[in-house]
Amino acid sequence: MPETNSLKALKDQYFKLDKNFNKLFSACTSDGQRDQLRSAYVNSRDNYWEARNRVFQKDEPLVKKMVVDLKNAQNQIEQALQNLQNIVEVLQVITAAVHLGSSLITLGSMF
Amino acid sequence: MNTMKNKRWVQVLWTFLLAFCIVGMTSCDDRATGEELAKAGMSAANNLANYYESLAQDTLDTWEMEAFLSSLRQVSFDATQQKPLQEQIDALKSRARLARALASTYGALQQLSSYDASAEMKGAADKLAQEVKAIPVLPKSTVDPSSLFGSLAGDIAAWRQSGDIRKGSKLLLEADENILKLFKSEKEACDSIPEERGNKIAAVIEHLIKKKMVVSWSLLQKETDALNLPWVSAQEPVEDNVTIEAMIELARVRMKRLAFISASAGDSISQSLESLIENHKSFQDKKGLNLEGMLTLVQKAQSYLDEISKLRTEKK
Repeated sequence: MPETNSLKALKDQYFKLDKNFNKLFSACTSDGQRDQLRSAYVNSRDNYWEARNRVFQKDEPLVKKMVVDLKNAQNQIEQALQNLQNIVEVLQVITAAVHLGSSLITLGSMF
Repeated sequence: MNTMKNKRWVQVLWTFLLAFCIVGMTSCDDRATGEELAKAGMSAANNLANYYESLAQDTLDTWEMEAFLSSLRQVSFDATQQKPLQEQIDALKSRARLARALASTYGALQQLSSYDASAEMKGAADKLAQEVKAIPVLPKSTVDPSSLFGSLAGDIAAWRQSGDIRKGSKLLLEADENILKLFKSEKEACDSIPEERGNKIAAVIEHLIKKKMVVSWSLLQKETDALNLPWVSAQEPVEDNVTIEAMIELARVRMKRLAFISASAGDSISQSLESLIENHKSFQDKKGLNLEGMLTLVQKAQSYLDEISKLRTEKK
């Protein structure tokens, strides 16, 4: 996995410089060396942040698509539940209608 | 001849009823299993969301510490250089939202599984049959269709619900597989986030201890308290260089531990998602579930995340 290897190499370089910055800074004997260290640190930090960010940005469209897919899946599952509940409701409405019909017939027979 | 015909009809009727009874029993099992699976999936998804939110917080801490260190080290840290950190926070938050959407979908599956469609349908169909039977103009029959009609409707509903639960589980299986793939491909980048935070905080602490701006004895407070040893000068900073270096090492180890806990949480989350996927597959194949191991992994990951949260609160 070349991408992983290069990310690891960049991380190792940046983390090493970050952790040992003070030691390296103390070992510098001139302003030129100190500026060189600062520049190396900033470059390695920015390179690593850029590389790591690319890992996340590369997958971003996939993440967005997955959120939409999940919303659709949730709607489908909720719809399935709704359909089951609707059938029960329809049966209840029909029952009420039949009951009303029976009552009307009973009422009609009385007059 | 007629007797033979009647016997065959009775046989067909019994087979028909038996088939519905079996469907009804299986469907009831599916509902319970679906509910268990949905609950476990919801826990795993919430775990994942907590993990991403923790990484977003780590990034924010790193950002602040880097601002402090950049000023000390006299290195540039302008708006352009800070942009990747904001993008990283946005990316981690979008993954946390994805995980919450997964949890909501599991919630919908749990609701679908916990609804007793069979009983509801049976009750409604029973009542309808009784009403039909009570219509005055209809000829009176000695046969009461209520219970048969109700049971049949209940079994059909259960069969339909069982199919819906399996369909929902299949949709979630696909989502879990994609999320696991994403998680694994980004694991290395994610692991480096708390590690970087630890490095930054350790560097800031090193500066503060070396400059004698903080009293670092509290790093050993628990140990001295355990032996009831009072500090001679608890309010004074450490003066000698050897102890200063030792205190800095102690602070570094504590920070490293946090990064280690976060990486362990990530490992447990990855394993729990793998186990969740296996359980979905078993459910699709109508085999039994093995959620115990998966739930142990979820709890393990959550205890790591709780520990991180606790260490953060202690920091404040």
